[in-house]
Amino acid sequence: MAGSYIDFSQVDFRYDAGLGPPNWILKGLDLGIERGEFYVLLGPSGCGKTTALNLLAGFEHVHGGSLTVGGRPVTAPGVDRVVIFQGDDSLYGWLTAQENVEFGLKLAGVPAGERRRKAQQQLDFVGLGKQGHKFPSQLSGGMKQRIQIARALVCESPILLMDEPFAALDAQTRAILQDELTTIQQRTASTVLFITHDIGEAIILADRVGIMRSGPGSALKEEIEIALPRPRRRGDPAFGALYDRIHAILSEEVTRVLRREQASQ
Amino acid sequence: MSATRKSFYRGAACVVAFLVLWEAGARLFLVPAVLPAPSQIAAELVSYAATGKLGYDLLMSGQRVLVGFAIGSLLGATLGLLLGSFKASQWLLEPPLQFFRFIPPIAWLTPVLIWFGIGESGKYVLIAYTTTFMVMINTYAGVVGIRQNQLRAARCLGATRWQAFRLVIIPTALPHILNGMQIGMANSLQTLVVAEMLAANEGLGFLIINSRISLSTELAYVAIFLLGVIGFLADSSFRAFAARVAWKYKLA
Repeated sequence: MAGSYIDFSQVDFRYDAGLGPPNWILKGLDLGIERGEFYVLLGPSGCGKTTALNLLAGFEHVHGGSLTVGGRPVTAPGVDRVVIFQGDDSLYGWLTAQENVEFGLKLAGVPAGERRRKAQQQLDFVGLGKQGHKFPSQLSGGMKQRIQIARALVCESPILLMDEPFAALDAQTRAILQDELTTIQQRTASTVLFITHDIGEAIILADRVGIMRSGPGSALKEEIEIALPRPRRRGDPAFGALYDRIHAILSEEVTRVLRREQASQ
Repeated sequence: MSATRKSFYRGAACVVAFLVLWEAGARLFLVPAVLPAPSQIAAELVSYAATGKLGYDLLMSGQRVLVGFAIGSLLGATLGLLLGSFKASQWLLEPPLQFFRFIPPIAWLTPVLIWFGIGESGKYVLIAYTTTFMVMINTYAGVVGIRQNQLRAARCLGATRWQAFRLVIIPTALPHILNGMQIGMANSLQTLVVAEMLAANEGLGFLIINSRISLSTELAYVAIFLLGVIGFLADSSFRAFAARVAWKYKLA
């Protein structure tokens, strides 16, 4: 696995729980993502998917093993790895949608005119070209999530990290955004790490799906290539076969979690 | 009639009814030294104002509050931002803070008089201290309560620590700073009055304490009334200012 563009190699991560034994989240996680690949991470709740993403984002630091991007160890957050968060609470309520999208450009010192033009482009792209003057509190959940996507895309970052970005949206909006995301990713050729609970979403989006074991001390259980042509449709028989296969692997892990939870009661 | 107008008329009617009852009660049952009627207080207000002394008292009290409040707000906001932003300052400053917050500012009167003299600076210090505390504690709470994803978003969009501080932490803390200033303003008036009662020869607090010595009870009520008016005006104009300047930065 060594030599992948994004390379988790024997990564350990724990939370220290006061005087008690440390709480191991990840133990010996090996995960490689190639440049331009759309990688989806699936797994039961609490298995450490988000932790893996936070490590890659640079928000948390590995306690063992190594995590590199393009051969360089990840030490801090950076604009080469932009995160799209699960909730919409990462938008800035005191800035308009437009100003939110411009935020990264402003940080980079891009002049105002160019900033406005690029942000407008992204807003048009996510279908909110006429909503730029509104504040987040005036937009629906789906719109806010699109603003977040635009805010990340405008940075033209080579890596996008998405932590269940569509989890809170209704099915229709979700399907539309999944299609948009596929288009965006193919156009920009960015590398994506995408986390979800939703098997269907994983198959629609991914080049490769990684399924994680249940925690504690989680790691990758199995990887599955999704070689379906795009755009993908849920009605496709091949889609159904993949769905069943992933579902079987995942439910094994979910059952294990349930059994453990029952035992501890 | 609009809703605000309606509530204004209702409020006005309530005040008038209260004054009428007071006037009647005071004239029928009480001697002025116990509780003067509103008309007597008003007459005293006019005659004392005519001597020019009242204007001077107001001016002195006003400038004490303004200077102390301004220094305190600035200091409190700065300290609160620092305290909330740096882990080191948290363990360094938090224990003493938890101790000092329970000491009423006016308890410092004696040391302050010794350190800063009985001139104006002592009063500035006391009022600034009062304000600093309220603003600092509120600002601190605002910074600490910041949503983690907002900070993380800034960091991964390329913000340096300083940029995250300037563009995310300060805007998030702003409504809390203003909130603290509003409370600090009310507390400043308290500190002002007590400080003037104990260590001043002019000002509204002095007026109240002095009226006891000269047995002119009406004068105490004049000062009390003016304190209410000043407090009300200060608070409502501050609210209006905050709503105008900082409407974008609502408390989340």
